Amino acid sequence: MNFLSLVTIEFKKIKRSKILFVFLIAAIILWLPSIFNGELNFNTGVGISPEYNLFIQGTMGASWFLYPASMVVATLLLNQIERNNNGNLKMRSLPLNMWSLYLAKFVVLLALAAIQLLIVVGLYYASTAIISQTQDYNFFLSPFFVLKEIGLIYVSAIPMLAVFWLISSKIKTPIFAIGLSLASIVPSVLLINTKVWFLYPMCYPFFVVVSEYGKLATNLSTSTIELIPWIPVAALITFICLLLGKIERR
Amino acid sequence: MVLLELKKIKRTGLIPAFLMGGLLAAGVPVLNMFFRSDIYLSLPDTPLQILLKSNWQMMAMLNILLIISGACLMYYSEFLDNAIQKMKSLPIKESNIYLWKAAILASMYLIVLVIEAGILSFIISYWFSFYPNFEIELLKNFGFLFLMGLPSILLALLIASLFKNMWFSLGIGVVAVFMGTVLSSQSFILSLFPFAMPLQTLGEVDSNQVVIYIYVALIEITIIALVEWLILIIRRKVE
Amino acid sequence: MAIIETKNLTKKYADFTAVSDVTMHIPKGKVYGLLGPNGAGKSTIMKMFLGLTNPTSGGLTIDDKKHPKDRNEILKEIGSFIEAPAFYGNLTGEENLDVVRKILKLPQTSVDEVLEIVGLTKWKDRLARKYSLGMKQRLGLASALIGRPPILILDEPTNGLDPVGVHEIRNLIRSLPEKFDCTVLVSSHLLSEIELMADNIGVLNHGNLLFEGTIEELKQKVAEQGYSTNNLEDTFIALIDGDNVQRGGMK
Repeated sequence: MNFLSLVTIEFKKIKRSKILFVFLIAAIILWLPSIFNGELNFNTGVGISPEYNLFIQGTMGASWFLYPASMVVATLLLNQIERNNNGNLKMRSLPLNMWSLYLAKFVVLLALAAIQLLIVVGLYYASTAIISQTQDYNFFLSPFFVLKEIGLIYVSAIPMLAVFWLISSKIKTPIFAIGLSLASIVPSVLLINTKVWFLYPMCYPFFVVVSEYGKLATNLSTSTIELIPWIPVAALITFICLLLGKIERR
Repeated sequence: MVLLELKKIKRTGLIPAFLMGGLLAAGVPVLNMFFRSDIYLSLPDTPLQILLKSNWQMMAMLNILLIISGACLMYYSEFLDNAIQKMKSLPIKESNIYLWKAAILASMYLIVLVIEAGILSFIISYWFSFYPNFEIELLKNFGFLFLMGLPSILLALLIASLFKNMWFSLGIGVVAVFMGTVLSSQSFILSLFPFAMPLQTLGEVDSNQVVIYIYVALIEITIIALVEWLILIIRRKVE
Repeated sequence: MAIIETKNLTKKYADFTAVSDVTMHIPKGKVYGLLGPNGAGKSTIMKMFLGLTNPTSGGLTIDDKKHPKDRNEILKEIGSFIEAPAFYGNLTGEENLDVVRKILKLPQTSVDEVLEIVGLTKWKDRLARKYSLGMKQRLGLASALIGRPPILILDEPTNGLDPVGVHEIRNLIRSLPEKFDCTVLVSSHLLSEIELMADNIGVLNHGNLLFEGTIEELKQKVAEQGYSTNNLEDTFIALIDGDNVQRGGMK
């Protein structure tokens, strides 16, 4: 069976899981405070325009907690559909390479991560439409800019997704897997201020957004992204996590 | 009944996870002091308040995430092999199952708080020093934190009892936790949301609002338990 | 005298009717076999007896008690095993039964007793999620039998058992009214099983009760309709097919 067919099957398995509903609720909750606090985007004191502020505040909330947490939930979905009703047993009794299955599911996770961010973008534009009306100011940012930023968040999150996927697949006790993954999200706020932030994949998306915030705000300086050593370390972490997927518990 | 509910969590890793979670959360102030003690030692206010102000947000986040994970797992055990159907065909009230699970989760939260209080006491003895009425301040603060956590425990269990699929209840729980973090800093009224309450410390709340928080916590506990009871009745009627 | 009686019991879901106007009488102290093809409504009726599902219309009394008013009292009297075995995978067989024992306020000895009856003593310390299908089935049965309840509701109890197991459980069920002084309602789609176990039978098809009575009476009725009664399986299939034809050729 070729890899693409396997990926197609993995997508089929999440039909009717209602995960998109969770993503939608998450995105609504993300942007709802902005709708109610539209006026806070003016006079921020850091020299950022209201429209950029609105966008950055929302993406900060997403990248720090909501996006990583939704991805932990997505990893749980991808594993639980196999554990419920012995689907796992069926997979193991078919001529399938387990590592290919691991990677195929990771591809689905990457797709879900992209979908989550696209939903966030969709609801961003919906909320800007509302806030622009209520505040009588045009909060719309160019889709090129928005998609570029979201694209950066997405790419920077790939190592984090690889780590979450490894934890979720290899730690069989659900509470430890979920607990560890969710707990790993919390220290991001502290770690982005350290010199070794690039060793902690869970803080990558937040670091990227905070760095962009610093670029867009004239009175605010934040750490800038240095591609070296970040990119090699990120790539290595991702590679190791995917490779460790080969380990099978007997 | 509580022994029965305790039996049901055997080999699920729930208790070790809570203990480890408590230690992890307690590690936050330790690391902070280790790397930045000079900042904190120079601040005015009692050592306990200094530590809570600078660390509680993160510790509380870890605690709340533990709570929702624990709640989801407790109901996941019931749904996984359909044990809940067996429970429904026995002469016990489903609402009692919910209440006893809440009692266990609350007890584990208490243990986590005890661990955290213990570590904070150690930090104070090592980096600062004990001061008069420290024990009373510690008891008051952690008593308040315990009460503030109870509505979130009940709400987390309510969410978990609603959905057979653990990822769905965890997803809703995680979104609710995010809501809590956003609301806790918005306004007093919004900080009364169940998942926002565990983030409030006694020292950061206005003295005239403390009693309101306490009353609201008790009211929320009652309302959430009642809502769960109603949901069970409605579910039984429509099944 | 009937210990369980239903009158025009009906259960409708949005898109289909699972049980339609069923009037049944389950005599006390006997084994009543509920027969029907897959999807006939057997499990739904049993769930209504346990209060797990509410009837859309019609009445139902269990030992002169009704749901939901007397729910706890009814459930104290019924030991049940519905659909698939229901258990806690993270607990051993013995621990699972201990949970049920404590709820029913039974003595500790009842666990060992019932493990012995179903033949699970050797595997009582194994985790339930590691049980074979047959062991899970026996565990489900054990959790129904524990405490010797006056009414037993068993949904396809011999599913997944090996021939020796089927024989054992069948003989057990047969002996229960006398040994335990109880009434047994057992469902199956296996004629041969019901024939060897039941005193009275009810035949369900598409939610309708086609027949209720003894096997002899069933043979008589089917003979009157011109079908062969040499083989009960043929008799049953004939009855079901006849009903399906009457419904408009539905198979």
